[in-house]
Amino acid sequence: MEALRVERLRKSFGGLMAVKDLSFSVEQGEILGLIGPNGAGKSTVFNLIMGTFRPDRGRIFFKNREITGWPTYKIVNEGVARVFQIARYFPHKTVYENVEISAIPNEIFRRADQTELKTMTVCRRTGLCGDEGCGEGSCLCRVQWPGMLPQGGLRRLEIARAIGTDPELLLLDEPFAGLSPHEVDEMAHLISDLRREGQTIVLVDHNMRGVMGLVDRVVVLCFGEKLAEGTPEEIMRDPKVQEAYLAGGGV
Amino acid sequence: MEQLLVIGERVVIFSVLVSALYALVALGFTMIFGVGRVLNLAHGAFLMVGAYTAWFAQRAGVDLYLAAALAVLVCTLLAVALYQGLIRHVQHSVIITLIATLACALLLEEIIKIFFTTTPQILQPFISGSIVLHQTTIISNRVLAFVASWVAIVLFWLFVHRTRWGKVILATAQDQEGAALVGINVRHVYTVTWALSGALAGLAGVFFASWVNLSPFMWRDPLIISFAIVVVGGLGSLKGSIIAAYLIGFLEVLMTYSPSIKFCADYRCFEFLGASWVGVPSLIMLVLILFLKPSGLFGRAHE
Repeated sequence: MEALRVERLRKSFGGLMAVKDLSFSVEQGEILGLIGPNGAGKSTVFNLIMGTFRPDRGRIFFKNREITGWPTYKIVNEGVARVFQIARYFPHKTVYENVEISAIPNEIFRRADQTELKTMTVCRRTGLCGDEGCGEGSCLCRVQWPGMLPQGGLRRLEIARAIGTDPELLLLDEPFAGLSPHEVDEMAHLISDLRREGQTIVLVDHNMRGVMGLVDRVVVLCFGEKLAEGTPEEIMRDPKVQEAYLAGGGV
Repeated sequence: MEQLLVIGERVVIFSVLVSALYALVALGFTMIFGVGRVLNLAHGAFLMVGAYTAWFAQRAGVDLYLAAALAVLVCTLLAVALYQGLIRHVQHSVIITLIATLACALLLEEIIKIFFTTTPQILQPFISGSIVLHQTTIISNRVLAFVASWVAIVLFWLFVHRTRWGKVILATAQDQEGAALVGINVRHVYTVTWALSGALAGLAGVFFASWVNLSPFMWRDPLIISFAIVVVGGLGSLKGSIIAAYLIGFLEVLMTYSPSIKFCADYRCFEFLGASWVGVPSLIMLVLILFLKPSGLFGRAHE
């Protein structure tokens, strides 16, 4: 079944055509890589899906239901969550509270202790609050402020906040950017764990090699247009892609 | 010396009492600003509407407790109507919002003038009589206003920090886009904060009437008080607001009891300090804080 379908999506800012008649779809349970050089329109596509921007033209379907023009909160509650490249956490909430707030809105009819259980599950799941961080009745993430976390921790917090909303589709914006090699490994582990659990993911990156092992299928963007689509092997061999990447500054 | 001690005692007791009310007056104003970044210049007018609603209901023979509940209800609906009908559409522009809320306050002033004239009115107190504490006589109704204010403040704090809705409101205050990204309907949250702010203003209005007479101009003082408290305490900080309320309340009461110096010339007299200067210290403090520490004594805290 299709999780997401984008039809002839178009968005321009002034004279700049950021996304031009882009169509692609994501099957349930797969990881789709959205790849392209800087400025290819990858983040704009995410902004369009999340309702941050309204497309000039084109339609977006989530589970065969049109969500074009919906407000962001409604799209989130429908089951789409986005992970930002630059963490955008609530600065005056602890790590735990940051995750908790994303677990709350969908749970109006559940009791509070279930929110707590879910928050802790998500925190453990993403490695934000490992078992080693938990002492007698209290966990490190309950007293930690997001500002104290390293880059890798912030990225985990972003993913935890996204997972807290119970998404059926996860949009990951450059999940490896700015991480140390060790943190990159951990992040790749986390993503493949999520995939194994059946999480549908769209992953944006400009670094093709880094994500080829993770994704099932790739869509290559160049200047807002779809340049190629296929399995990672096909894409790596595609001369059009190689050319675009060489022109755009390397793989 | 004896006389001075008595005055000192009065200053302390009265400022403790009135400051709690001031904190309640500013509470709704602070919240609307903290969460939605809207300076609601109609806040004082909400208080006025609350006071007049209670007074009108009382005159019609309604029990005062019921009349107060009615005042809270009317102000809640008024605040929600103002948000949904006007502010929601202009919120993106600070200037338009300021003008719109000020126009709303003036409109309410005019409406009150038309229906109830400019004659000052008195709201009968909840409890009559007075109590004597040492050498100070205190009107019982003002003690009730003090207690009710603190109860409302504590309940409000518990609501914000202990309930699910409170957590959602705090999240929206910190980052409204971030809130939308975790599935929070920000517009819904704003509606709730306006309703709450209106309810608090209605309650504050009923008790404010235990200190002043009702008049179509009575919205100005509470608005200035709210402004001063919010700026001095730090925008959006509950703790800061309460401390600022006590600071301003103390200065005002102190001014009421301070001796005045009279200058007279050609049969015209000018008083320096004293009761007629009551409104001055809080305004001076407001300007000073804006100069020295524009973020307020407690910055933009996470409360």
